[in-house]
Amino acid sequence: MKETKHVRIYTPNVDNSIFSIFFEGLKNLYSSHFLAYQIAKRDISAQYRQSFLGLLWSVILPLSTAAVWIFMKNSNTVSLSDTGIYYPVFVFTGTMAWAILTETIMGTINVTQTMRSTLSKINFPKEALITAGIYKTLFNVFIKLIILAILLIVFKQDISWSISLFPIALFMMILFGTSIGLLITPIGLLYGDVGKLMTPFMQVLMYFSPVVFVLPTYDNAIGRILYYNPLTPLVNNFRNILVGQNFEQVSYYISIGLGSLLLFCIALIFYKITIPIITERIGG
Amino acid sequence: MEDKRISRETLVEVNNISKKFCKDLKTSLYYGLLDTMKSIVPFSKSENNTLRAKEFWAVRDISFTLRRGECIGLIGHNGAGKSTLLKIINGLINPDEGRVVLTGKVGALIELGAGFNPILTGRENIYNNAAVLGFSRNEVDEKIASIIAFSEIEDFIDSPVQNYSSGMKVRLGFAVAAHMEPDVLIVDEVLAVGDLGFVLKCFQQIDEILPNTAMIFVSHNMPMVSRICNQIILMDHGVVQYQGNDVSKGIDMYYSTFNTGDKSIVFTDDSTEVGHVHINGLDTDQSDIVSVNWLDDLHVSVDLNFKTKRDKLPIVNLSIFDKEYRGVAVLQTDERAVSETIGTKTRFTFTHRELQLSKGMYSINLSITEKKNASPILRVNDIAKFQVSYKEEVWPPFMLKTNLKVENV
Repeated sequence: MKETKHVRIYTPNVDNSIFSIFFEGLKNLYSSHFLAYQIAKRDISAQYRQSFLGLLWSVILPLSTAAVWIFMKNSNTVSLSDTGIYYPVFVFTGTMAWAILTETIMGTINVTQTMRSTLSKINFPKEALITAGIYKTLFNVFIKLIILAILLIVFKQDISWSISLFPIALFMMILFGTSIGLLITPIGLLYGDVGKLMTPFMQVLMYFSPVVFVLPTYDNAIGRILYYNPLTPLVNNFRNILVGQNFEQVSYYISIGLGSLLLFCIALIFYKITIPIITERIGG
Repeated sequence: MEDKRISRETLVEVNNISKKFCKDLKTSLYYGLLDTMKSIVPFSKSENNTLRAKEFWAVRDISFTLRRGECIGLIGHNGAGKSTLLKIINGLINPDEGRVVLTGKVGALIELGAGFNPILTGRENIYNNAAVLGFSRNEVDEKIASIIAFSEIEDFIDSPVQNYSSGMKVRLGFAVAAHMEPDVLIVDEVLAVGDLGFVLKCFQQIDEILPNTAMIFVSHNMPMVSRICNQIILMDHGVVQYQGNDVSKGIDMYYSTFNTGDKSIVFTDDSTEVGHVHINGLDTDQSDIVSVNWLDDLHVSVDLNFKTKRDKLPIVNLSIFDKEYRGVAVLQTDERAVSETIGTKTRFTFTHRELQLSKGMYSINLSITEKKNASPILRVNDIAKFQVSYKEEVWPPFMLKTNLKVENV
């Protein structure tokens, strides 16, 4: 007996309903797991096999950012309000959250670039590129957690049961970053400008988010912008969970999570529809 | 009976496929942006059948059907639209018109070694490449020994791929691809690399896969196309020039597009000129291509004008080339039979009895030397063409007349 064969149909206009595109995307995200794992493993092992410092590289950047800010604070170059916890821990957790955000936003674009020549030749599930980017981020998070653990012990920072909620904070961070990233990926693949703009944009945005300092609480327009910046609860709660402090802006935090989930669904559909148009133009 | 019915199932249906491309990159990116925006607005059927500024049809109105065990050849000049058509069939880009229906697992031999990272070892890259080609982890674990054995690079399988020669990379890539077991296989000119032994092995593998797949084969290697395809499409500027089951007719048409018909002088010392060439009494400059029946005699006469009177007769050689410009024969003459008295205008007539070349087009190259294989005077390619006619078509250049005797022993 022959099993029922998978049938593919290609037509100019998208005949399928938005829902079937979405469910196909979800199905592919799951079924392309091996490819995603392989791509992530390939990129990570190639990266470290060619380097002497190896795994240390993923912590050198956050540690050096932390060092700069610790120096500026201690030398009174900048005056920062009290963070409530040891400043090095504050900066390290902040930059760690920030790194997850930037990595996930650029993740899909970056992984797609490594598969660029294959994209126009072999039909593989493109959803794997999303998952591969997430895997690479998770790997870096894992390394940083080890350093963080050392920091927490050195500074005798109290931790509490809340650390068991870390997967949720991590998931929120990754979901938010990946959704934004996925949404800009199609345009980012067509125009190199998007990727180039991202670095300065994220740098500016960092100073509007509680990454290296506690946001000042002004009772004016700027203060409200800072307060309602969706990154504020994301970064703050990520840190608070790690160092055993209370949740902030809880209902806003939850709605950001739900919003990200919705955004992810929309971005996935958008990504699936646009990928043939992109493939046609980026060649290889 | 049951098996036969299943083996004839239709696997590929291509209906009136068209695709337009843009010549200018910036405009193309802009259209890309526009198309992207349009595609996300539901129910906005874009005007696909008109060309916007700077656009052209890369593929226009192509249709065909393939059943299991069949192979279609796509041939044509570079830029004829073959690869674009393949990309549409493979689902990489959407057609602007038409519809493609594929049944079963689709495999593409378009890029060998996709997903390779040069730093990693051959073994690691087998996993990378296999994952891109759609293998599951279990499948790779099962097949890895067979893949390594097929690639014949066991000794270097744990060395980084960047140390491999290009041939070794291709071997490894093909070894993985050969284990795909697809229902529909798309092959695009990847097998031209690697050493002869490996190319033969590849084709042997393709022969093995072919009965169980519907194959779409893009190649410039006509002997290969004629060997494995049972349908053919000749494309030019995106449109079909010939489509049908007569593979050799398609190939002939493809070759005829290159037929300049001009003789080309490769070497001359300016002492000699070629005049008229007659084949079987017909002047090749004035008539169409001369047709000769199989087993007829072939008479070729070449008029040569020597600018000065010669003391010694030069050696005149004719060789016969097939349409792929492969040399197939030399006309061997008995030098003593030639008269020693020559003027400035001389006709050399070559007669070959019972021509046993197979059906097809042939061209004649002329070479004149002072001595045997030395001191060239004149070399002209394509001084004339002729066609051998016979009811049967075979690929090898010779059809040797043979007697068969069967007896009990």
